[in-house]
Amino acid sequence: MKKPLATRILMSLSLLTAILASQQMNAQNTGVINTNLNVGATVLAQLKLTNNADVQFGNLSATTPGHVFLSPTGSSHTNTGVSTSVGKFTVEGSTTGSVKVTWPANIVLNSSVGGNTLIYNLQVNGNGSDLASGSTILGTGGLGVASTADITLVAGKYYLYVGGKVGGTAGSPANLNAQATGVYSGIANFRAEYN
Amino acid sequence: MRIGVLIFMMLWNWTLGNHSVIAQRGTVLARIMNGYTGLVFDQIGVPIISGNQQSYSIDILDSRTLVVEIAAPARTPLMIQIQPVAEIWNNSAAPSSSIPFAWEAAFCNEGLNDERMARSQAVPLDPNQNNFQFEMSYYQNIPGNPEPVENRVKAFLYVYGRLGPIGPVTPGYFTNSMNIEVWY
Repeated sequence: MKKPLATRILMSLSLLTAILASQQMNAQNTGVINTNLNVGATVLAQLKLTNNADVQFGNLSATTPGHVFLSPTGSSHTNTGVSTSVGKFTVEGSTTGSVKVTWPANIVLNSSVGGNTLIYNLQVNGNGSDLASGSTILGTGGLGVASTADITLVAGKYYLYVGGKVGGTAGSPANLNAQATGVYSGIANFRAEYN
Repeated sequence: MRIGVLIFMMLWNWTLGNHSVIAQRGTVLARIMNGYTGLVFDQIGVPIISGNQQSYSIDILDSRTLVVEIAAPARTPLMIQIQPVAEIWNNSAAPSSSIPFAWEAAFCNEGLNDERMARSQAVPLDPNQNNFQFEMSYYQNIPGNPEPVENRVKAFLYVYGRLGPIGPVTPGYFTNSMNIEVWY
């Protein structure tokens, strides 16, 4: 006797479902687990340190009533000559790079005449903007002691302003007292590197 | 009545099939171990600078090495397929620029569930060995080797490599994605 159409359809569906289930069971031993690994690196722009201006204390008296101080902010100098210049460097690199700047806390200036010397204790100020008057002192220990500081570039730049005191000894500035006359000069090496 | 039986059979078959598949998926696990941030070459004190022509390497003992943990019952046959990348890109630059990347990998399937123990015994893969098959080892019952959880023994894949040389590329973050598939 022939089965009704609905029954035949249901039987076919059941058979199909059973086959599919069987295939799923056979497939149970296969599968794949996907894992994505990101490979990455931050590339920084080359770091540049440009000397924009040298330090000039001007013409000094051999004996001064107080410390000879060239303020890195560009004002409130004491006992300097009339014609002075604050030293300036520009650090350029990646947009917001963290940079370590190092410099000598003090150097010896040599006279153009004879073997006379003069101690120069440096003070280095910094500012993310190109504005000496808004700069603040860098490093720990201050004038004649600090020799390194971490700075953060602002829009890829940072500005260093260099002043300090001449006279006295390393780390202990003093008035000039019958300093031998002559033209004194020396070199302070500044270094900048990414942290 | 017949129809009811047939419908019951259909539902029973469907239910049985799905449960079996889910259960089987649970027997093999693969994951990137905790602390994953990607295979990132950034390192404090070692900046990567555009145009310096240097190369930067991460070796297997480096903490930046990526660790893929695979856990499965002993004797489970598996295949690992690595879809490598040869460059990483800075897509935020226009035009985009790239840096060469040479991936390396090492593998340990010694029945060691402790990652540090496994790392010391990992064997480097041959260069360009993008896929390989293996069978999960039995658990090594030695001091310091954690007991298997739910009968799963672990194997470890270590991914590291070399970046560079760094040409005069546009500064920024360079990235690309490697895909690792664990077939079971």
